[in-house]
Amino acid sequence: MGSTYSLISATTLGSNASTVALNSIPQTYTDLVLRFSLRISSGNPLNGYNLRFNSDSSAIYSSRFYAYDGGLYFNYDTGSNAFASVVANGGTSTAGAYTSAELYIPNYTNSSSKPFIYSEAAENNSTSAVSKISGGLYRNTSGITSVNFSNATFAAGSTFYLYGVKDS
Amino acid sequence: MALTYEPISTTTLSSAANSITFSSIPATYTDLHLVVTTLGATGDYISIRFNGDTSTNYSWIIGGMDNTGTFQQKATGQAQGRIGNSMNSATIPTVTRTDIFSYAGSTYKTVNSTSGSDINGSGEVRVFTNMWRSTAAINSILLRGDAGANFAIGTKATLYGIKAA
Amino acid sequence: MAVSRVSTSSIKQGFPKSRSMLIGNAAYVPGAYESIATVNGTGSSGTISFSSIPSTYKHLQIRYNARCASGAITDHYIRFNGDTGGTYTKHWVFALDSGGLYTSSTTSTTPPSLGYIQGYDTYPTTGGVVDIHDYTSTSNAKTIRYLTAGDEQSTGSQGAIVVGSALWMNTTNAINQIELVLASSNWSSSSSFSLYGIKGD
Repeated sequence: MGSTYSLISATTLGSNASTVALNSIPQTYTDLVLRFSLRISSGNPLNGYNLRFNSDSSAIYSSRFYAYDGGLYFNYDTGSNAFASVVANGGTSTAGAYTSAELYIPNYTNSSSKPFIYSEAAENNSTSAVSKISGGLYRNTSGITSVNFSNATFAAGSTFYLYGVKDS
Repeated sequence: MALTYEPISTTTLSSAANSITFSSIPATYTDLHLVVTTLGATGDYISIRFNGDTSTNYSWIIGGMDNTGTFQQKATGQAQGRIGNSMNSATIPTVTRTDIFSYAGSTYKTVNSTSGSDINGSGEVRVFTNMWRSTAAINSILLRGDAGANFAIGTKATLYGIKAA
Repeated sequence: MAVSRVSTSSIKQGFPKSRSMLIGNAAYVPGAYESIATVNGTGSSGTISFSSIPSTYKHLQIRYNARCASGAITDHYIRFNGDTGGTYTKHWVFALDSGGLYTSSTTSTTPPSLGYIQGYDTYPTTGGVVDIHDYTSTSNAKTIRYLTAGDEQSTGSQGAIVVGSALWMNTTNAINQIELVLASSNWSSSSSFSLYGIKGD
């Protein structure tokens, strides 16, 4: 018998890493919740990176968001090869500040496109900070079996907690 | 004994329907959490009613963005609340997460939602807050299209209970 | 010791054996989301406090339904471990209230605002959810994300939504105390605040 909100995996980077892969996600839950704290080792206070599902780099991601990004800011992207609306604290951001984020993917095993909601806080002791709410879409009809971080050097101390939520 | 985070009921539509109803909601939790993925190409907002109340006891505020920029809306004295973005596609769901605070208490009810929809070229991301001006405990929830449009097949709603110490 | 499952057919065929105590049943997966404590307003204090927070979780979530006893709209702040210094930042994605839609940013600030608590109506009409990641870290600063929102109909114009984040720039201490503090007046006795922990192992 499983519980409603269960930990699937916990990952902590003991050293810098160029990729992070949360693989072999069981298909036994209803929704996925990924809570992570992420910092990028490179110099800018804020840096983009790639977040993908199933290591899929096809141009089937899209998203739209509103954010504090130096001021009220909104934007959207279509036909991207990764979930593009992600940024993380970089090397020159406030010491010890890691971007906190939650990614909620309902019905991640469905044989239909995967919409999701994403909330992100790349806090910084300056106006170079991002606080964001996104709605995204991964247009693949396969179940999500992995979540993949790439295109940056992720700093030691970054953490990734993947949870499964069951609806019955 | 209620667990801390527990599913109460799930409905997935096997055919188009005008509404989804959760009835006989137990009063044993502290808050309710709704996760709704709605399908339909009607442009209708997702609305909510409690305990069959169709009187003008609802009000809301909405903030966020849509295709053209920032969005804000406010209404009082409504016959239903508004909790989620419009339904833009019969195949790509709008995702809405809704918190209903102290639903079993004898106070007015506050309902907050985050709703995201992206269909690769259009959509919205918004936050909704509602008030239902009733001191009755919530024992039923009805979800419907704001102007009466149907939810399409595959629309799904799950109600969870969250119990505090 | 062998574990045996008994059925009519197995009796006829001889007892099947299993090396697992589960004998084909699914393993129990304990829940990760747990309730820690609930604190209610008293009507005579503007501070709600969660103390002696256990360090056995990875994330915290505060959920509340609250009212300001002053009968007006009032700001409220979050404070960690009693730290009242300029060691916080705050960035609002947006706030939406009677003044319209706007954003806000503060740095090196005293405890950051989470938004507005209504007091116009008789009952609590502001709901809040605050998420705190990696609160036990003794090497990282502590980031929070929050949504506080509520409408009111007594005046029809004072509802508010705030979506935002904040940072407590303390990298050496785990969070063991959280306070929610009204800028003025007191939390009504009908206000209720619940702390939840989310496990990470």
